[in-house]
Amino acid sequence: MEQLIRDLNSPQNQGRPHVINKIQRQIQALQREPTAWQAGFDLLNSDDRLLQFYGALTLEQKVNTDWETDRIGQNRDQLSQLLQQLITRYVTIATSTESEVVVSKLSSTLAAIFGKPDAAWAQPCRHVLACMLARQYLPQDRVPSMAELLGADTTISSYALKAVLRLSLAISEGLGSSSLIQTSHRNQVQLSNLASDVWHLLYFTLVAFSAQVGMQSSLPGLRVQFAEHYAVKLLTETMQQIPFWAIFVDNEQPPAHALFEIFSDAVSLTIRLLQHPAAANDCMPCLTSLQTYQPRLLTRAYPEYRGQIVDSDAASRWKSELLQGDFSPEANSFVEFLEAVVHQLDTTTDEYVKAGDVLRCVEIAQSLLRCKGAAMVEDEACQAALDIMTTIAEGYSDWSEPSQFDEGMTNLIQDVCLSTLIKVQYPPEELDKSTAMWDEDDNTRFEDFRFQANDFFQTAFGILGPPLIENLARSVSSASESNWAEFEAAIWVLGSVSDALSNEPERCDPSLNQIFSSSLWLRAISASEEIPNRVRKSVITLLAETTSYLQRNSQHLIGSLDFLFRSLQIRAHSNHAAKAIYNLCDSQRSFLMQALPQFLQTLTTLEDIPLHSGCKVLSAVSALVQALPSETDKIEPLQKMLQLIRNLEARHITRPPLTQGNETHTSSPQTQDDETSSPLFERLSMLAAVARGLQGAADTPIDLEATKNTGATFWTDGAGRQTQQLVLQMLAEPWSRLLEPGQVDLVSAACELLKAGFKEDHPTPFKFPLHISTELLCALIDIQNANLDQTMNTSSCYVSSEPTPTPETSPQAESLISRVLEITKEATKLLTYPATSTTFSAPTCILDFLIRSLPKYGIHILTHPSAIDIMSTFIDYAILLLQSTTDTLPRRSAAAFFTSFLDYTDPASTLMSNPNPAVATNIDALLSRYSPTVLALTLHLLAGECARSEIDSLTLLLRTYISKQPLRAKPILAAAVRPENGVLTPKALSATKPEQRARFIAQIESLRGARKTNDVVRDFWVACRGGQFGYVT
Amino acid sequence: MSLCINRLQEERKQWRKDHPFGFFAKPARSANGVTDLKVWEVGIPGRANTIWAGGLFKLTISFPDEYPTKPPKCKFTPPLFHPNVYPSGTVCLSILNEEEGWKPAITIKQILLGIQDLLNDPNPDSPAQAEAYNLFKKDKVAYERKIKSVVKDNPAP
Repeated sequence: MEQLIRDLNSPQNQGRPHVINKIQRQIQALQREPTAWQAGFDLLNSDDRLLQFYGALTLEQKVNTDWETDRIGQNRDQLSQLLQQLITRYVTIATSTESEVVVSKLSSTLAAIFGKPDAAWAQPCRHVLACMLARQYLPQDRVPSMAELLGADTTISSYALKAVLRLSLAISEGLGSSSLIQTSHRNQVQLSNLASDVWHLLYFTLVAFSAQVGMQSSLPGLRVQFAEHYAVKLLTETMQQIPFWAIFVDNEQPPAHALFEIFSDAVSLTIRLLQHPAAANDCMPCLTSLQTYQPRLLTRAYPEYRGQIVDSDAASRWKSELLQGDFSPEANSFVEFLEAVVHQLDTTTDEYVKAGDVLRCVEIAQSLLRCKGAAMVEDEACQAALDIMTTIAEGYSDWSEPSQFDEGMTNLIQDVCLSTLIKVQYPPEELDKSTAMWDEDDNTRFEDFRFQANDFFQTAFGILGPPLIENLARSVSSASESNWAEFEAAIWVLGSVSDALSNEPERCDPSLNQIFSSSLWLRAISASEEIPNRVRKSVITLLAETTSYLQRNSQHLIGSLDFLFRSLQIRAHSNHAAKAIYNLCDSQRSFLMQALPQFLQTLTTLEDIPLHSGCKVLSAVSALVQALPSETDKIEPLQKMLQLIRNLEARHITRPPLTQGNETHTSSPQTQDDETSSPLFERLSMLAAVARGLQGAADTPIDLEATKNTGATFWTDGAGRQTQQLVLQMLAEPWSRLLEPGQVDLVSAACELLKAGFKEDHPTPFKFPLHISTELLCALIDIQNANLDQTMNTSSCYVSSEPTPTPETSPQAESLISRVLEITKEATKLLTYPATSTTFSAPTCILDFLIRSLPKYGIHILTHPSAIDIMSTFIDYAILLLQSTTDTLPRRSAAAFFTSFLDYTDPASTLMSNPNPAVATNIDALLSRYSPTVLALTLHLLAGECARSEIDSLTLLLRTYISKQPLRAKPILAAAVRPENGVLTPKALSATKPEQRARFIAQIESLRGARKTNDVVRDFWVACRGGQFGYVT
Repeated sequence: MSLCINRLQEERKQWRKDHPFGFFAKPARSANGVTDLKVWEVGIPGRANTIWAGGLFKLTISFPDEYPTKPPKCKFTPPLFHPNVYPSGTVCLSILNEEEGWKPAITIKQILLGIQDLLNDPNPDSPAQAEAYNLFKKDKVAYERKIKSVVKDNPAP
C-alpha cells in the first residue's frame, strides 16, 4: 500500500487521470482486506505525514465499512486495543508537532468509532483530553471528571487543545449529518453528558483566548501554552461548533439546565470578543448561526444581544466596508445576521418598531441598499438587504390598525424604492451587447436580483400607490439626455407594477403621460435613434403590458407600434416584439383597425423575420381584420394577407441570412429551425396564424341567446367565397403530403389551422362548410398519419363545435365515423399482430375521440343498422387496450371509454331517453355481451395486476358499473372472485382469503359507486399484491 | 390551517433567502395587492444546454389546507406539451403524489428543481398526456422540434 500511496501522490502521475484512477481502485481494494486494520496502523506509525494521513484514512474506512462484518464492537479486547492505539497515536501526533491534516483525519476516525453504538465509548472528548494531559493513554475507567481535568494545575499546548476541539467538532459534524441525535439506539443521557463535556471545553477555550488577547483574566487551573499565532485557530475551532452544541442547551431538563449558565457566559463573551479585531471575524458567523437556528435560546441567554451586536465597533466597520464595496465573508455574515433578526420578527403589527435594537437592524439594512457595485455581480449584500426590506414592507401591508409609525414606514419604503431603483440599473456598458463585459452567470445573478426587486415594487405599490409611479415618472423625465441606464431601470420598474396601473387610471395616467412624452422615451422609440438593446427590450416589454393605457391615450399608440415593428427586424427582439404587437392589436382591435392599411403595408416588409414571430404578427393583423364591422370589408385585407403568404413562400428558397445586428444573444435557438422548415409547413403555419387572429376577442362575452348568425354563408356561398376558395387552394398541396412519413410538424400545422376554424362561432374564410371540414379531416384520419394523436384531438374539437347530426348532416357524421371505424380495425390488427412491419404508437387517441364524441354521435351510431357491429369494433378495441401490459395510458383510456359509455346507460341520459327503441335495445345487447368480460378484466387488474397510477381510473369504471348497472354487476363480481373462474391470479388468490374477497365485493356493492370505494379498492389491491408491498407512509 | 400558513411563510422566507437562478416563486396577489399565501405563481427556466433552454414556464402551485401533510398541486398555465403533464396542465411527478414520494419536508425549491429536471428528463413510466408521450416515444426528433417551438412560445424575459 505504501508504494501505491507514493505513486498516487507522485508529481509524475498528476496529469494522468487513468493511472490515478487505477491506483485509487487498488488502494480501495486493499483497504477492504481484513489485514487493512494492521496496515492502517503501520502507516499511521510511520514518520511520514503522507503515510500517516493514509493510515488514518484507511482506519476510518475500516470503521465505516467493516466494523460490523469484522465484529469489532463485539470483541471488547480488540476494541480496547483499537482505541488505545488510536488515541496514543493521536496524542503523539497532536502534541509533538502540528500536523493539521493528519490530526483532522484521525479525529474523523475517532468520531466514527464514537458513532458506533456498540463501541460504548461514552466520553470521547474527556477521554482524549485526559490522555493529552497525561501524554499517554489512560483506560476509560481512569478518566477524571471534566471539572477535575480543567482545574488541574498543569499546562496544555495549544496543539493538544486544538486536537481535542477538533475531535468534538468531528463528532458534531457526524452527529449533525447522520441524525444520530434522534436515533433511539443513541442514549440521550450519554449525548447530554458528552455535550456537557464539550461545553466546559468550549467555554474554557473561549476564556483562555480572551485572557491571551488581554480581554479578561484566565480561569484558575489548567493553563494553555499558546504557540505563536495559534490563539485565533483555537477560537475558529470553538466558534464553528458552538451553534451545534447549543442544541443540547435548549432544554429545561438537567443536565442541559446546568449548561445554560455556561452557554449564557459563552454568548456574553462572544459578543464582547466582537470588539477585538482578531476575534470578530470568527464570532460573527457563530452569532449569525445562533440567531438563525436558536433565536429563543439566544434571547433567553442574553436579552440585549441584538443591540450589543449592531452597536459594536465590528458592526460599524463591516457596514462601512460594505458601503465601500468590500464584501468580506464576515461582513456578509453580519448582513445574514440582520436578515435572520428580521425574519424572526412578527412584522404584521407595529410592536417590533418600538424596539430600538430591531429598528437599528432595519436602518442598517436600509443603508446597505446603497453599497457600491452592481447588484449581485459586485454587491453581494443587496439581495439580503432587499429581502429584509421586502419582509418589512409585506408585514406593513398587513397592519390592520392605524399606527403612530405609519408615516415613518411610508417614508422608509419610499426611500427603499429610490435606492432599489438605482440598484436595478445596469451599468451603462452592460446595456448593449457591443460593450457588455458580463458573462452569463453575471447576467443571471443580476436578473435574479431584478426578480426580487420586482417582488418588492409590487408590495411597495400596494403601500404607496400612484406616488410610486409619480416618482418613476420624475426619474424618467429628469434623466439626463444620455442616461439610458436610469431610463431603462425606471421603465423596467414600471413594467413590474403594470398590473396595478390599470386599477387607478385617473391617478396613474398623468405619470404615464409624463413618461411617454419624455425626451428619452421619444428618442427610444424614434426611428433615427440607435438605442442600447436592453433599453429596447424594456420598452418592448412595457408596451406589451400597458395596452389599456395606450387605448386610453391613443396618441402614443401608432408611434409605439411603429417602434415594435422596427424591433421585429432585430433577431434578439423579434419574438418579444411580435408578442407585444399581438397583445396590442388583440386588445385594441377596434381602435387599431383604422390603421389596418398601414399595418398591411408594413407586413410586406417582414420577409426576413423568424417564422414564429411572423406568425404572431399575422395573427395580430388579422385580429384587426376581425374587428372590421362588415364581412365585405374583410375580403380585401384577407386577400392581401393570403397573397403575402404566397409571396413569402416564394422567397423562401432564396431567403437571405437573417438580420443579426444589435442583438442580445448570438446563439438564438430559432435560427436553425426557421431556416430548415419546409415551405409547405410555413404556409400552413401562417394560414393557421391568420385563422387564429380571426377568432373573436377573448374578452368578448359569448351571447348564449344569440340567434343564428345571418352571415353564415357569406364565406361559403356569398361574396367571400372566392377568399375561402383561395384558402382551400392553398391547402391542396400540403394536404396531399400530410400522410407522407415523418410529417409530424406539417400535420400539426394543419390541425392548428382546422381547429382555429372549428372553434370560431362567427363565420370566417377558415370556417369551412361541414362537408369540406369533414373531407379535410377524413383525409388525415389514417393509420399512416405520423401525428394521429393531434389529428384525433382536432377531430374531437370538430365534433364538439358542431351540433348533433341532423338528417341533413348525418352523411358527414357517417363519413367521420366510418373513417374512425376503419382505423380502429386497422389498429386492432396492428396491436393483435404486432409482428407486422407497421407499428402503431397512438392507440389511445381513437378511444379519447370516442369518449368525447359519444354525446354527439351516440344516437347516430346506436340507431345505425349496423350499430352492434360498429360498437363491437370499438368495444373490442377498448378491451384489447384494457389488456395491454406495456403501457398505462391505453389502459386508462380504455377504462375512461367504458366509464363514459356506462354513463350513457343511465335511464336519465340523453341516449336512453331517445324515443327510438333501437337505442335501448342495442345498449342492452352490448351490455349483455360485454359486461362479463369488462367487469372480470377490471377486477383482475384491480386485484393487484394494474399499476398504482391506474387504480383510480379502473375504480371509477367499477364504481360506474355498480351505480349504473347494479343488477348486472352483482352476479358477475360475485363469480369473479371465486378461484375456479380464473379471474384473479394465483398470487392474488393466495394473498387473500375467500372471506376477505367476499367482504370486498360486499363492501363495494354496498357503497353503490360512492367515492369511498376508492379506499376499499386500494386496500384490496395492496392485499392482493402480497405482504411485502405497501404504500409509503 | 395555521400550520399550513406558517410553513408557507417560512417557505417564502427561505425562497427569498436562497433560490436557484432564473426561477421565481411568489404568492399570488390580487389586483388590490392582497397576497394569497396558498396560491403561488412560479416560473421555471429550462435547464441550460437542453432543448428547454431559453424558456420560462409558468405554473400555479395550490396548497391544500392540509399542507405540508398533503402535497401541493402544480399546474402549468397554460398547459404544457410534456409527457408527464396532464392535458389540464397538472404535473405528474412522484414527489407531488401523496402516495408516492411526497414528504412534508420537501421544500418549494426542491419541487421546482424537480419539475425542472422532469422537463428534460420525462418519466415514460408515468405518462399523463398521450400526444407528448407518443411523440416522445416514437419520434424524438419531432418531439425536440415541438419543444423548441414551446420554448419560443414561453421565452425567458
